[in-house]
Amino acid sequence: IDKETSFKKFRRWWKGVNIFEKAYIFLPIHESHHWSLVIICIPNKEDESGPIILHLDSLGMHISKSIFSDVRSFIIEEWNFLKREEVLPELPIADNIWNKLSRRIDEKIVQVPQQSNEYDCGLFVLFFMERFIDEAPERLKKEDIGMFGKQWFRPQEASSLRKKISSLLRDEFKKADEGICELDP
Amino acid sequence: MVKGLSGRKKPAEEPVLPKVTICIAQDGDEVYFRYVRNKKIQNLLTLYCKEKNIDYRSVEFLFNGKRIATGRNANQLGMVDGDQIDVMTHNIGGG
Repeated sequence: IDKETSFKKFRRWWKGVNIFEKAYIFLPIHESHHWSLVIICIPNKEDESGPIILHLDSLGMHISKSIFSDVRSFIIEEWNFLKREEVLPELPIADNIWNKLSRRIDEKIVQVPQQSNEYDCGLFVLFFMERFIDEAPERLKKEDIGMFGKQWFRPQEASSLRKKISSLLRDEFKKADEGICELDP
Repeated sequence: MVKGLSGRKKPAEEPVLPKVTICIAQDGDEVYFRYVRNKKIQNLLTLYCKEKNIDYRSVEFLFNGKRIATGRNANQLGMVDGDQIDVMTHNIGGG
């Protein structure tokens, strides 16, 4: 399959959604038996800033540079597609930025609390998302990146998600056993 | 029969519709199936796994990027001719 066809197929994964209108897009990254997290931030139109790609890694193991390059080409591919198809009635990003978007994408490896074992990466990714949703402003500004850091939360807080999720699952399974479980319509 | 379901009214009979062409794709390999629209999709997926010699539980089936409720049929899932199901292997991360 050529590149264009496969991208068109891939686009069904976010069917009907204009990613540039979103404030944040979470991309969990999996490579070499490890999970880390990318957050694509689309600033306010008035901020005259391009998208910012953040990489959060609880082990600092993934090679951010190659992840940034993949995410960047994903953003550019989608941007090219929307430009080509002229499907946007209104630009979600300031005109002058939109026209040369490929040169206006920023990337930042953010310092985050680190896991102290070799099995909590998935929990950290989930906890990064939970905390970020709680604390992030409606739209990120560059100066907001200071919200992260090694002291963002205690590593134990992320690790304790295991218990929380496990009891959640137990409840759900119990409900299913009792026949209370309703499939979504 | 699950207890909670027994009290429910039987849903109105669905019209028997012709088949739908569905593509199942895994790592660039595409297989096309003509499948009955009102038969649950799980049967097709198990058949696919059997033919491909893969463990049904080791993979995840996605339609438009979302996990498929395998108990549903093509009609309920809103599938049309040429739609694609993506087969993804579970990514285990110990990190």
